[in-house]
Amino acid sequence: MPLLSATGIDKRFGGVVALHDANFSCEAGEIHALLGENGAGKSTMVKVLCGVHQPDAGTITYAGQPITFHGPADAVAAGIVPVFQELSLVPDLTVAESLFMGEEPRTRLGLVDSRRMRHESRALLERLGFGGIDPGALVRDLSLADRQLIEIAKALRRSPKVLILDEATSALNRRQVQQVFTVVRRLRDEGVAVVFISHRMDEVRDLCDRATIFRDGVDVGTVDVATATDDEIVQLMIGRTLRETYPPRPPRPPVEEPLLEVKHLGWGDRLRDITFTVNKGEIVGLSGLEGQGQGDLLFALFGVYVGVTGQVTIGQRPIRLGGPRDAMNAGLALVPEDRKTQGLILPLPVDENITLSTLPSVANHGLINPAAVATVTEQMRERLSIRMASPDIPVRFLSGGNQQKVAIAKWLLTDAAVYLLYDPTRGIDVGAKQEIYDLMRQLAAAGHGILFFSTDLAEVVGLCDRGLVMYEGAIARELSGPALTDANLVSAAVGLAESGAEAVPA
Amino acid sequence: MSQMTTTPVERSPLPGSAARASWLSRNRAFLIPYLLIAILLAAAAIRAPGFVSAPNLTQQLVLASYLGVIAGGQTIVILTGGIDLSVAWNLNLSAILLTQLGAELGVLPAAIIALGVAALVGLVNGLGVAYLKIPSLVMTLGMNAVLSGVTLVYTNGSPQGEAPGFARELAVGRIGGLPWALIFWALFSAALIVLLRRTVYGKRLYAIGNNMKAAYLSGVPVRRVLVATYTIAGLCAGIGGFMLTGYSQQSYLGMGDFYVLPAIAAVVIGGTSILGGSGGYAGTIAGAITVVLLQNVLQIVGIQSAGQQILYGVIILLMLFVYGRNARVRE
Repeated sequence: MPLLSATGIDKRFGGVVALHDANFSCEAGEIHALLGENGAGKSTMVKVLCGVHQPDAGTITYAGQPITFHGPADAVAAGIVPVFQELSLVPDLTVAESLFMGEEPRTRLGLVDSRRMRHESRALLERLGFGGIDPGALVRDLSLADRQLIEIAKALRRSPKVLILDEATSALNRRQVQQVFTVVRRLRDEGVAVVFISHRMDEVRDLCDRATIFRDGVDVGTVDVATATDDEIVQLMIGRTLRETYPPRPPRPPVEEPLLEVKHLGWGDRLRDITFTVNKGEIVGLSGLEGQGQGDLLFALFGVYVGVTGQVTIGQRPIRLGGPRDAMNAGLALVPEDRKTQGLILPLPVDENITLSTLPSVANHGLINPAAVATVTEQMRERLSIRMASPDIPVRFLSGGNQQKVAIAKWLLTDAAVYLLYDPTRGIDVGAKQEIYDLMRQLAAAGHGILFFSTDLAEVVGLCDRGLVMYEGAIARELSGPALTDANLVSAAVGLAESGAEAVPA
Repeated sequence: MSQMTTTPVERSPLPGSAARASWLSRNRAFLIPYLLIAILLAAAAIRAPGFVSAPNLTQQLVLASYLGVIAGGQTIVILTGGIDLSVAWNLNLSAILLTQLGAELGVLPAAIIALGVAALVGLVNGLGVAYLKIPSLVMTLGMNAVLSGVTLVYTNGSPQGEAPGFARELAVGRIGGLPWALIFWALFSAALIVLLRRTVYGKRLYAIGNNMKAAYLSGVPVRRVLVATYTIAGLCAGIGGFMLTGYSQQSYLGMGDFYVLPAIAAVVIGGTSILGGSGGYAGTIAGAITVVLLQNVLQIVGIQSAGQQILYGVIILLMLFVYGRNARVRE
């Protein structure tokens, strides 16, 4: 009998279905992996299991009894303890204070018993094999990896019956991962159920007994990790129900003309030795699971980060990574991740958003020419079919797709050579997606270069001339021509070698 | 896990209703001070019938013009989401430089130096806020303290000289029955409104005030705009200092202290969001008139300066509360 199981779970966020009739169960004494590409539903399932999200439908059964969690505290009280990748520690507390947060031991006077807390922390850390960490050290002075270990230690201090590790090992090096695995295996042998999410397939292979694969919000299969082949697992991850139609790819010229050349780009340990080229007329897809540095790469190229190393040239001319203004003047455009907070100024009218980057071109000696603003706004409305009541209504009243078109229109006016697009079709309707695909092809045909990060594999396969897969801050693989397939993108994204899995026919 | 956190596809409301709603929400705040002015005048008319006479109302407008010019600088700073607390001693120093240097160097050099110093103070504020990322509240409060010390040392505690003729004309003179102060305020207002609404600078200012990150990522020169804004605000304080010197015929220590809170009150009563990004100078004009009327009506009703101070504080806090609520609802 499973220790924890979820049956028939539905969960939607607004209009987006995250889980539909999804099931998951794990048994005491096993380590169970959750696998799936971006948006497949694995994180939502985990958050349902640990009480962060309440399901819209379905039941959760725990130790044979149906159970409802009203919040994460309920789940923790029941013995279901999660560790997430996003760190939840307070930088100014000590390690011991962090471990005992909210449950500090008291002296007879009611004050916090620091000595006992430190003593018990040291014992706990040593038991877990993390003895190198000083319980008196401040969290802010610890490395990212040590902080992650503290998160894990904090969870283990509660003696969980179900331990959920959601990308909890991604900040750790191999040796630290092995330390954690030793502890996790011991817990399993003591009868704890462990749910493990990782983008590293080798870790899943190394650690897990079974794996459940999610796709498009539903569980599509559970396999024994020891017997399933990589190809079987990848095949389960990529099957696809819906396909858009993409504009045709024109043939590549016999000799490529490089437009954007990036050499040995680095930024701390977040971006590592990145070298690639975007040629004239080319759409290059940036793929991989989320959080592997794709967003950082676009921001680094746009000059947002300080301390970026390496060389970037546009049309042979080296550019200075001094900030968005420099980037803009050098011929770069960035449509950022979040159009609501980064791409647009929601309370301002459509025409002011469209002309924001190119104000001097619609002004004489600093004085705005309203006729020029109206003209360029109308041009953009027509070119991108932006649907709006009038150019002077705040952009927040537009639909998501039309908002995104406004965010793009702003950059079309700068006539940039290279466009950096961060998932521009996320959360917009199918019609608007189609229009954005067509626009990207038009721009490429006109000789621009496009670097296009997408969380949707189908877009990379269907639209792009080449694909770059990022993995842990580096470019893990470059795929083009017949090799640009779902299967190859997914296997590179989870750190596997080239896949032999058949591409799913369109 | 991208799609999970994605905002759902929105349906846009009926286009007409959206436009109407935005007109109303844009102008509601702006209409409040004019309504307040009407109420105050009605109250004054009942209590002291002589108050609502043409000469007295003109006098009230002249008083409002001093506050209005000072609040002009405060308006543009608040539009960026900042605040300028160095107004008090910046205008005081500028007034003192005008009277003291006027006696030593002549009026024109004194006026140029005084305004130059006022602008320089604003520039330094701007550099601190834009480049060193010092919160404007702290930067300008510190600047205010520095300026009060500098002024004290410079004057040895008692400012010399008297207001030059042009300052007196500007503050209390008339041409053909029309006060120069009102003519100047009209020109100042027109210039500031055009600057905010019709120039590249103005559009960038609103963009920064609404969403600094998005403005930065759109290639707006955020730092330059901020520095320019604080510099203009310093200049406004300097001009305000000239007007106040002209009004009182001389300069004295602490003359700016009574204008800091009222200027901020004029801005927020005028409907400019203290969070930045929305509002404008047209509202501040009404706000300045409201504050001046309020001061005098309160005097008529017998509430003295302590009561007035309490009222400014309450008004500002009330406006913050109202805007804070709106901001939460809008998210």
